[in-house]
Amino acid sequence: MAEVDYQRRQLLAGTPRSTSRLLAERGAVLLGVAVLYGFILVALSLDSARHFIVFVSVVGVAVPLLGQWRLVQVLRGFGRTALRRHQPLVSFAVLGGAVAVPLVFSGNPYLIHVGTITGVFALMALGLNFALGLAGLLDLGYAAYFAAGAYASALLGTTVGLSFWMTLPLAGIAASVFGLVAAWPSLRVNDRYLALVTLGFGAIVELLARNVRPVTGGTDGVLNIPPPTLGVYSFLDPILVGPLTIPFQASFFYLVLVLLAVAVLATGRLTNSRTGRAWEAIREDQIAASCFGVSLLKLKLMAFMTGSFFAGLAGAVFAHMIGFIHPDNFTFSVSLGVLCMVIAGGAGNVWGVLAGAVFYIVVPERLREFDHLRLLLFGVSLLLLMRFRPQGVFPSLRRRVELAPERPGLVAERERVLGLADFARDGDRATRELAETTAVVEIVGLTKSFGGLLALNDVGVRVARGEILGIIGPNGSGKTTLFNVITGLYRPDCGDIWYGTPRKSLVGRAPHEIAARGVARTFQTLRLFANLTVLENVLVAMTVRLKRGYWPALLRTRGFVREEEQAVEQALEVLSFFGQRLLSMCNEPAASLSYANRRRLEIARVLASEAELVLLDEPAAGMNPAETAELMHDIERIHRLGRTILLIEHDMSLIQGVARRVIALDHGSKIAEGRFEDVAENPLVIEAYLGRRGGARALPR
Amino acid sequence: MIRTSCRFGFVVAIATLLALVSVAETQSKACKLATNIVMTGQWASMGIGIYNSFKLAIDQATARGDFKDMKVEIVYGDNAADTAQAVGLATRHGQDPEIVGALCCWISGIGIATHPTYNRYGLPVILAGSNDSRSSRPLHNSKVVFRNSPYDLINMKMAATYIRASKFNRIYLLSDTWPFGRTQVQYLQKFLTEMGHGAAILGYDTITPGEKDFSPILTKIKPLNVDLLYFAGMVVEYALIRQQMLKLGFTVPLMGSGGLFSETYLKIAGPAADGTLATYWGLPLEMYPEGRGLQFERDYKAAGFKDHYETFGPPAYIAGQVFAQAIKRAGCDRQKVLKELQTGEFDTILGPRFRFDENGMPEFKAIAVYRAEQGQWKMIDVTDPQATRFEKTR
Amino acid sequence: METLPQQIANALTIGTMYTLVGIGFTLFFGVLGLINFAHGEIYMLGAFAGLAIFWALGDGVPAPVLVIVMFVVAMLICGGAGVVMERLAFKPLRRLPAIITLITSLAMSFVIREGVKELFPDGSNAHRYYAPFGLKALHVGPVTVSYEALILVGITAVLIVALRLFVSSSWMGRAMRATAQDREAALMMGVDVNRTIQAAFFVGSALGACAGVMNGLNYGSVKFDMGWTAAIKGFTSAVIGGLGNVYGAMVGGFVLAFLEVFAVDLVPQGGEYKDVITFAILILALVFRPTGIAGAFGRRRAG
Repeated sequence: MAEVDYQRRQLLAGTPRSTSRLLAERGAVLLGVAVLYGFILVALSLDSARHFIVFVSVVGVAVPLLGQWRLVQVLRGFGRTALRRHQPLVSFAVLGGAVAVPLVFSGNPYLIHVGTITGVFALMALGLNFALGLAGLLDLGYAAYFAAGAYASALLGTTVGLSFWMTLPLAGIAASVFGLVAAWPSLRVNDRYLALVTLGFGAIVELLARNVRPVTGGTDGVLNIPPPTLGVYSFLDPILVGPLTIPFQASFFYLVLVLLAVAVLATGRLTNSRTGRAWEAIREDQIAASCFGVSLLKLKLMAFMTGSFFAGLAGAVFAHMIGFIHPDNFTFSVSLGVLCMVIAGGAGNVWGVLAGAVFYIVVPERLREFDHLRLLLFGVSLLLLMRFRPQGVFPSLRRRVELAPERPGLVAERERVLGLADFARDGDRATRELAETTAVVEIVGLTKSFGGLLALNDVGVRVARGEILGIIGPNGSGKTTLFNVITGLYRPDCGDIWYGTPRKSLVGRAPHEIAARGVARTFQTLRLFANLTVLENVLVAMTVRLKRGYWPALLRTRGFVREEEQAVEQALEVLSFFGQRLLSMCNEPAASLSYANRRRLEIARVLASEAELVLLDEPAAGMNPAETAELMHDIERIHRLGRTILLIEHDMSLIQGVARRVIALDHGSKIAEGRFEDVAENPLVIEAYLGRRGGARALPR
Repeated sequence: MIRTSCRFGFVVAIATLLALVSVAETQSKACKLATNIVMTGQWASMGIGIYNSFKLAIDQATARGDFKDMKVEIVYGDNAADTAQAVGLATRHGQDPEIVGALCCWISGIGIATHPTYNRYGLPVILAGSNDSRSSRPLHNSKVVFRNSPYDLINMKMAATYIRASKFNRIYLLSDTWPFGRTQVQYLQKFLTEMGHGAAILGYDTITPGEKDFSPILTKIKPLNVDLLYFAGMVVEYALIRQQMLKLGFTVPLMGSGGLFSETYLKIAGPAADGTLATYWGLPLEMYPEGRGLQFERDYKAAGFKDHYETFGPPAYIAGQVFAQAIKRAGCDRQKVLKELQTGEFDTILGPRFRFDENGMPEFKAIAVYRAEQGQWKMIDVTDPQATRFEKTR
Repeated sequence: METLPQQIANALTIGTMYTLVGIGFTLFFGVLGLINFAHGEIYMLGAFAGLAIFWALGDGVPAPVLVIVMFVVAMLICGGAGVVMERLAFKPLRRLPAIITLITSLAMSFVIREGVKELFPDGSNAHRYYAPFGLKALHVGPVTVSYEALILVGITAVLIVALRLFVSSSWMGRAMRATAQDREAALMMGVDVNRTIQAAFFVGSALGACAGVMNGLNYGSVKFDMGWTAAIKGFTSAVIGGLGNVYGAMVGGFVLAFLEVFAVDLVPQGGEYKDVITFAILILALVFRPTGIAGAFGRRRAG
């Protein structure tokens, strides 16, 4: 026990680091960022396109080659840890470099202009990243939001005469509304076709921009869009800083930089919050996410609206920078371009997305000298990129929840909290009273058919509070369908499910609402969030318990920070239910777990949700006898926590071991109910399992 | 381990070699002219024709020794019909002190977006195409902007005049969705109405460029018994509409401008083209003084360009001649070249005294009406050089 | 109303093109879950292959022979191109999320389009196509149909029937349907999934090439950027019919064509708003009937 305590403390406190190591790490970060900037700037300033291609090819070949050296690999590992640990420093360094660019290149306004355009598109790419990278929703009409923001800001600026600083946020809001309108219809029904609906929406917006002359000016576009002004100074005037004259393009550059910083900050804050985890859970497995309290519709709309907001901002900046907008600026090609940026750069990863934007704008710009072969070369380079590095330039790093670095008072606090609720200690909890006659779950006459198949036929059962009910039956008898109906994935044709005190019907409720009522389940076919870490999987399951969502995360309120920390602690405690097995892997992606551990993680999720009603669907499938015995033990521990458990199983020894009462299903109907011994000898049950001529052999005990 | 070192060494060697090579290239001081036109995408054929013609003029001047020991280069610039790229190019060209002149745009929207940039850097630019009047003076104040053909307001006014004078009393207007077509039709409507002929317009509709089959809209128009169908759009759509009209038995004349007046149209529409009317600036090449137009055609062919010079090739060639002579007289200096353009006379294929008026437009503004006959464009009427009235049609 | 018969004829002609391209999209989506942006360029490639034949053989050859050769060569070239495309670009990415293959197909479309533009003489311009009947058309009462259109509708009808037979009765067709429904199960049942997918690409691309040649013959001109519009229309047709459903795609093209033609005819300024109307209807259809038309005829899956 003491050993477990020590190890957990280590995990939470993080490995101790010396000052020199810290300095080395920080130095590595700064060096890395400087090299990156150097690379981009050299690439941009090479005179001829031939040199550019050669340069990029050489680097592209050299880097993997170098990577095979042991020394380089060690350095790279070091660099990665440094990057991970010093994220704020990375942002600061990148930002600092960017701020310096106009100053250094004050003699080259063209470069600053390209940089600004890149920034505008990068802003859009970051916006698309919310829906596409984080939530996995394919939006093919992104240009529509860009158009909404551009037109809103341009029209308000030219007709009403509002200042840019007012039209900018309004543009964002207008774009958000468009995002809502675009997503709403399809999300309500089936988002397999989301891509197509958004495609159609984007096309419609472009067409309306072309046709609705009184509003948008039609193909005349909007002319003479005023530049932003700060007091007396207009954005079209060059900036005079001492002896240095910085071209006016720099004003727009800095404006875009500020907006980019906001976008990066928002992405970071939302990602490490309930909302961001919910988005990623949606990307990984929608059904599981919804069964753990994630409201699919609400979260998807939030992803769309957040993303389109940034597109609106980008549109406003674009309009006021060029001074003239026109429907041709908002074609489907623009949507595809932004899509390319996100995917080629590395969906879900902020730096990847930024890299994608740089790639998409800079490469064709650099290949200008190649005359008409430019687009062809671009297509070829994109092909190669997708073929050899489909995860993108900077793929989404395994996001690890940053285990809090040492802070003095916190360690003591943690110890206290850990001491109180320690799942690793067995058998210290008082057993709940089972002799309650009030049922917590009452299922009445549940019927469900799919086309011609009757999956559930008038099934009814009452489950007492704190009881373990076993559900057995041959394959296809409707057991999992029963669970799916209870959790709201299917709607029953008739019948009802009453749950809770006071009793309320679960029928007709969405899965996330049912989860919020305190129902959680595991899945017969594992439904883990494969690319999220073990810890994140558990945190998603806690969605229903967390109060602070979108805005607290964005604004990083104190309440939010505290809640997040507590959530991590609780999650770690839940993981420690299984001793070291999951705890030691808490920062690894769930996909890397062994099979048995995956099953355990499923159970851990259920525990974390603190659901009162627990549905376990064949938890022992594929386990050997030793693991099954351990599982039996675990189920009993869960039981002792006071949960009500419904258990589907084929392993009769497990059922017999834990379930006091058992029901048997066959072809959708309940054919037996009672104690295991009685049900096992029921001839109907035997016939269902073994067939009519199976004889009177009883089921194995 | 050894293999990796070998590979690494190989890479380093190549990189060093390249670095040496790039350093070894010396920059020769040159005088440059920049282009900023559509070289890729669906209108690439227009842009390429413009670029080639422009280049031809400069190459010829170089071959003649007009620049003495100055080396005049053309900086290739493709804006891919993208406003942001075009503004970027204009900025890039503007900030390069070696560039003393530019040929821009072709697409009206880009002309509108880039003129402030050219003006800011004082880089004289001749607009090729870009017929929307808002891209040119006097509708804006950028003194550096010149045109190599009159803009839409003039073109459409004469088209309206011709239509009214020819007694077309039942006309239908069609345009595509690009601004070029749309603005044309809008101006045509405006002028016809101002001339009191507005009632002749029976209707107006749009077609989607890129589509192939316009039978539905043509079927809709046919029963209206029009005597003229005016379409403003691009070459391919003109050809398709003409062929489909005739197939439907809808045989009234088709009229248009700009994109219509092209060899490609005649080639694709074939015999269907006969009877099509087009208005266009300037004279047919064979009517250029002293056979200069035909000389241009011969020179273009001799130069062996892969693509045709297209509708806007000759004006681009003229622009090239203008810049060549301006540089020859004023030297490699932006301001001086600008002054030359403002005040000078140029010897071009249109004649020895080509000038720009106070709004940067060619003084010679004659608009001609052409009819396609047996696979050729025949001029059937022309205005006076100031484009006030037609010679034949009253 | 007097225009009704003619508009119906127009719609039928337009519908054939959309359908043929749409079938390709639906095949790719059904078998691979892939939205293949490069398909429009394959269509264009087919048209240009036919153009090359026309230039090469041109005048000496009698019309029917020339047309047949154009079709056959175009179909073979594009079918082959489709297979090559699949092997090189899509097969390595099969296990990855669909979005990657989508981007790859996009990149591929760039390459093909620009490639044709570069390689063909005067590639950036439009080209005159072989027009066996010139401007002659058949006049039947109020309806005028060009001879080419008649022949092409006929060919399309034959192709559709042949395809239907192929998909429903032939071994390869069944294999394709099986692979579309459940690739792993098909694999376990002994279907050579790789070959099936290649066959799907061959058939889809060949049909696209067919549509390209038809388009050139019927409208008398081709241009290197003709693939884009065709792709959008074909894709929309496939969606209307129910993506992945070959029978639906056969109908979807005609539905789209009729929608467009009657939008133009009946709505004032219809030409201007035709596309808005079409897309709006598409969206509504997707929201309320996502399985497309084929789904409307009771093809819901159990469970």
